[in-house]
Amino acid sequence: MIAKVPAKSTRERIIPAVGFSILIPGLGHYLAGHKRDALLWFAACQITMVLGMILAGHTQSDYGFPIRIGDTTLLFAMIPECGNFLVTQIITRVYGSVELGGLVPTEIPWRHFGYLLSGISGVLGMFSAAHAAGLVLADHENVRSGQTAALVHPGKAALLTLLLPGLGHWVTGRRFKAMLLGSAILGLFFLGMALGDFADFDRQRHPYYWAGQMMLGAPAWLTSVLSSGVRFTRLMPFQDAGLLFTTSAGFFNVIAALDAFHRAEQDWLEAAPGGEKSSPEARSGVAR
Amino acid sequence: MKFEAVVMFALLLFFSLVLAAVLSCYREDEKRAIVRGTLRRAAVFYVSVCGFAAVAYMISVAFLMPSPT
Repeated sequence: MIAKVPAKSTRERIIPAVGFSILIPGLGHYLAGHKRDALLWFAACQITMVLGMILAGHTQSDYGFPIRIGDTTLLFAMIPECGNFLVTQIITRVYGSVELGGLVPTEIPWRHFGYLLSGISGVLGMFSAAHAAGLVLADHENVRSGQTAALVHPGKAALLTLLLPGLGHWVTGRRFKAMLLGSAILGLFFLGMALGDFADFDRQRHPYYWAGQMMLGAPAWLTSVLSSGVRFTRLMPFQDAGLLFTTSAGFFNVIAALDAFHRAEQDWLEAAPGGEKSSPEARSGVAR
Repeated sequence: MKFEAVVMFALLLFFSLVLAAVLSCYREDEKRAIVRGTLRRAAVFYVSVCGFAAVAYMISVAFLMPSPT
């Protein structure tokens, strides 16, 4: 099946919507003319970021690193907070980690919750870009009258995958894929958590794995809250496999979200009289 | 030791199935194609990893084990 792609004029509008959404979540929506959505995304991402930074005493910056040329710091790389790019840069430059003042992490009682909130902010920032792109597509690729209600715009499908793996496919009518992806990804995540005695969702111990785990979305965030006080009580023989499983599940969820986005986009373009057939270069990639 | 090895192979099989399912769902959109793709890709991944493990094990036994004196 030959994939359809949005018209060139739509694609040219999608690119800035994505770029500005990563820069400041909500800005892409604002420029696309969706002011209410812009305000909601901006508030959700910035409140969680600022609150998370305060609760963790800005110790998030201990898990990132500056990218320098000579003595000049250009950027501060911190995953996944960089999904909310500009505010992350500002906060890490203005505020220093309280650990530099002599505090040890255990003296910051709400640090795990703070890490979770700032991480959620970054992940939401990335997904705000997908949501903005979906809105631009829906605005500029007019579907035949009467079909709009039956379609889900791609950004919403991606966002629902973040809420529950497979949900984005479910709302587009792909029930088998939804159940397969949902059970596979959640099964992998919870088996991984069980192998680590539910004590291995910890940024302090595994900051890079933690970034991957955060990508699983709401089920992982809830698990993180519930398991924040759990500590290892015995030697876990398959702890490493568990860590690999939980992190992989997060990355698999990103693939599921991308697929939900593109399938919903195809549905939308099939219902729209416009659109373009994909180029030979595009067709030589993933067959859809 | 034997029990741990069995569990490791079972975990590898489970991971292979999940990886293959996600990849097949990304590549295909029809139920039949997804199921066939999942089984094929899981088998390829599982056998490949087991193959690498076997080669690594043989190298370790043949060359890296301290020789008895």
